[in-house]
Amino acid sequence: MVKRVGTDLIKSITTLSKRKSRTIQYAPLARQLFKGVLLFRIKTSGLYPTLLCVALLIAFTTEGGALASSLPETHEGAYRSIWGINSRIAVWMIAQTHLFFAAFVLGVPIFSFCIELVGIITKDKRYDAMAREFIRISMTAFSFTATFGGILLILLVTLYPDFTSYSLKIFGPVMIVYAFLFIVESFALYIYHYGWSAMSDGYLKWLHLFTGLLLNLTGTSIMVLANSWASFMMAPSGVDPETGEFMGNLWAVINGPLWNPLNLHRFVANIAYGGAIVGAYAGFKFLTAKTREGKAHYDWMGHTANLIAVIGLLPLPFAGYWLAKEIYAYSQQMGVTLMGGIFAWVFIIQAVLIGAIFLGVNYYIWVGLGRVSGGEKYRTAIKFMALLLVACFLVWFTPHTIVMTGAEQKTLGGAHHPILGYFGVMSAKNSAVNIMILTTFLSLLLYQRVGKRATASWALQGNAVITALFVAGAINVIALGVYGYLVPANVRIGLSVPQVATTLLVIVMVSVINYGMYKNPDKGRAGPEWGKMPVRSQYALFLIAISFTWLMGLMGYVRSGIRQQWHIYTIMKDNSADSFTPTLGYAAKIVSLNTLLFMAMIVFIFWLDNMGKKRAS
Amino acid sequence: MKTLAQVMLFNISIIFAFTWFSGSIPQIRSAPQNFRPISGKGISPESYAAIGGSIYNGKGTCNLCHDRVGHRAPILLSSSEDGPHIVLRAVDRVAESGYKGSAKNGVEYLRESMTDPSAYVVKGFGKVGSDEAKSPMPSVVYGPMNLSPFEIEAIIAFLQNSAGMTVTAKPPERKDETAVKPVDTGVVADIDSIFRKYGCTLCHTDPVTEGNEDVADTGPSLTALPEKYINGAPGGLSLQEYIRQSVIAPETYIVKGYEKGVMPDDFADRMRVSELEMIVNKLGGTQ
Repeated sequence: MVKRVGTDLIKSITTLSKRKSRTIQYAPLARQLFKGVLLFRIKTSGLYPTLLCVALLIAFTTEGGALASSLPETHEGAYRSIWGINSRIAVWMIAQTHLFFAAFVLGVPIFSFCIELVGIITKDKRYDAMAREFIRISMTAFSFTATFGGILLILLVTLYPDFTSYSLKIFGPVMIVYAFLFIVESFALYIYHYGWSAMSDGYLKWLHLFTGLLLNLTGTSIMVLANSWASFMMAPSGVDPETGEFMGNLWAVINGPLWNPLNLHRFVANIAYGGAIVGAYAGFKFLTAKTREGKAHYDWMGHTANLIAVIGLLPLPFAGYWLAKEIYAYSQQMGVTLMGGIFAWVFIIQAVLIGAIFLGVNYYIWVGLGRVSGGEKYRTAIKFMALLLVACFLVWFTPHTIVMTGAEQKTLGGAHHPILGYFGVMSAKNSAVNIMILTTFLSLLLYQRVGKRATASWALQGNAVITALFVAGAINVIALGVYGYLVPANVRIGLSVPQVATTLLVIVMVSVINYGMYKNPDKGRAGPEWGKMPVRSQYALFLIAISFTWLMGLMGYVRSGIRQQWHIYTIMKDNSADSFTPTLGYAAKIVSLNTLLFMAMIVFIFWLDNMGKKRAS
Repeated sequence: MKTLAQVMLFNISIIFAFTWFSGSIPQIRSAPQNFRPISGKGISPESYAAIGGSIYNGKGTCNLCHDRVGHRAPILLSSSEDGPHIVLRAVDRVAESGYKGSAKNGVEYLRESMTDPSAYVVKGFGKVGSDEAKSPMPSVVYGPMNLSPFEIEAIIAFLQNSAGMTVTAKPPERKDETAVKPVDTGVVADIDSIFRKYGCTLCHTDPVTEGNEDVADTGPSLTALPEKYINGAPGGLSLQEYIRQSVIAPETYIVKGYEKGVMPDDFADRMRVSELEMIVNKLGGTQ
């Protein structure tokens, strides 16, 4: 298989050389380069930057100067297919798998670093052990990320040579930095993982922590650089809008209108996603643990991972909203296609998925109350919170408009119902999301309080203020949602800002007051009894991980899909036979297949980890 | 092993549930917008306005924002709080003291609003943060809409017709359309792709692609041709010969009720023989 793909790569390079070369013999060069790639493939993680360099070399040498690039002419043979496999599906699935792994391996080191720091500060060795276990789990996933990145690059060069050539020329210098950072990240990762025992005391421990910081800095930098390619495809900047010619300012190309919203959204989502996957790992280990200590350890790990997922999940809708807002600001047409056009129903599926995640997360916290003596007193409150979550889910679930065929729309006289108008407007959905976030925050608050008694003299007044803040916040958020039905769309879209501000204000103020009340709590009762969790609670962790993975796949389809028939929106048209936007059902099947494959590989990684541990012990 | 099997079964069930739900809601497949190589020879004002209507609601996506319910942009097709019908409003607008654009009359204003939307920004509809100096509407000439002069004039014809006025907008001369190049999309593998590539479904209802009811009446339906011409096609031709002739020499026979000169006559130059034969086989019922 490697040979066939390699042959295609050579063919691709040779074709490029025939098309554009005047003086250099590219075919022999390509063969030499490909041999070089194979020889250089000592470690999997080395393959990716090597391939990237090869691709860059091709791009830079095929036509004049690298930065004087303009759009290639569309021509016969601009698209290829290998062995009759649909090119779009191949690139779609490999890119998504690469992103699943990338999100996991970028998220895990962030909280591994934070947990290690907590371990150093609290001098609790359990934190250190858990941080180490998190990193150990993600080690094999790093190789998978690099491998799929390399395959993606080969597929792009082979199947979409014109698009890839143009992109490589525009982003050439960025990719060189990207490849360099990848190597630095690999070094940092190896030192961070393999040096954990050797660097466990004194200043070496701090040096180890610094390596973790370096790992995260390079990882995040890699992510934001890759994001600039994706955001450029959605909202190109720094190039001539008519010819696609590079205007000379690379920063203007990178810093496009959607770059920072995408950076924030992916950064936060990676943390939540990493937490969800590690939670599933802990859940599985809990179910298979034979000893009480083992169950206690993995229960604690599952609880921490769920907490990390919640911390990432709470700000995620806000980051997503910012991205959507900037999409509207960049192109109203793209925004309307996203929220009111053919993708409108995606957000109903998204509501189901996020509803499942919120319910899973809260359910796990509520069941976790049973670990601590005194948790049973919240049972009544939990019932109301569950009802509230379901009610919010139903509001979010309500579509904005009815999706109709052209004939139905013609009969009805427009996209909206003539009497009822629109149904689920964004401000109402925002209300639902904000209430769900506040409910989840309340669940966390209750969990944090169980088994403890506030010792502050003003505890009674503090509770009254906290209650008032929750009630006032909820009323404000709901009132703004209802008001959204009475004002035009351009006013309504601005309502989310006070809604988000209200939620954030409630969370911050309640956290501060609660911290003051429980600064020195009276731990009259025993602490959590780790391991005392029913089997069903662990399935909530699986639900969260699967829903998260599926959601990422779905939103990846949407993010790419809103470009519709453009490789690079308004600059480079997709003239392939696959330029149509597939139906949701079709996309769902691809996403499901991708999720299954990813889950199978994750199980394989966990199995490898288990085997390695057994061997070590 | 039992636990692993249970967990995998649970996970697969969830994935299956999500897949099932996604497949159970309304499915829409969005075909790419095509270059519309329609010739304007001999086209009637009514047909031209009808084409404009299909562009307004289709390729131009004007109705996404110029819509009474969403109201992201001024309402155009009727009197409203934004003023009278846009054709009447356009005449008044160029006469306004605050108007700084280059249009001299209502039709020029309509054209300018499409090609250079920021030339005049209607109060309350400016881009956020631009202090009403910029319009959020993209120019229809570039980007996703990429309308040709023929299509822009067709929209003006549609607007005039919807206002109940005489349609004065005319298709530009063929030389005006040189800015828009037909796109050679390379070899296509199936009939669906060929229909999309040459924009057949913009005017015809066809047996492959769904959802073209809005424009189906611009050209005759292509569905069930073998049943329709069971006793032979016009001119004593076999159905296959007739389809071939209709594609490469559309003026030879015009189906009753349809306009002459609407269908482009250059497919013989642009279409591959293999593609033509795929169309003939598909529509002629031999495939």
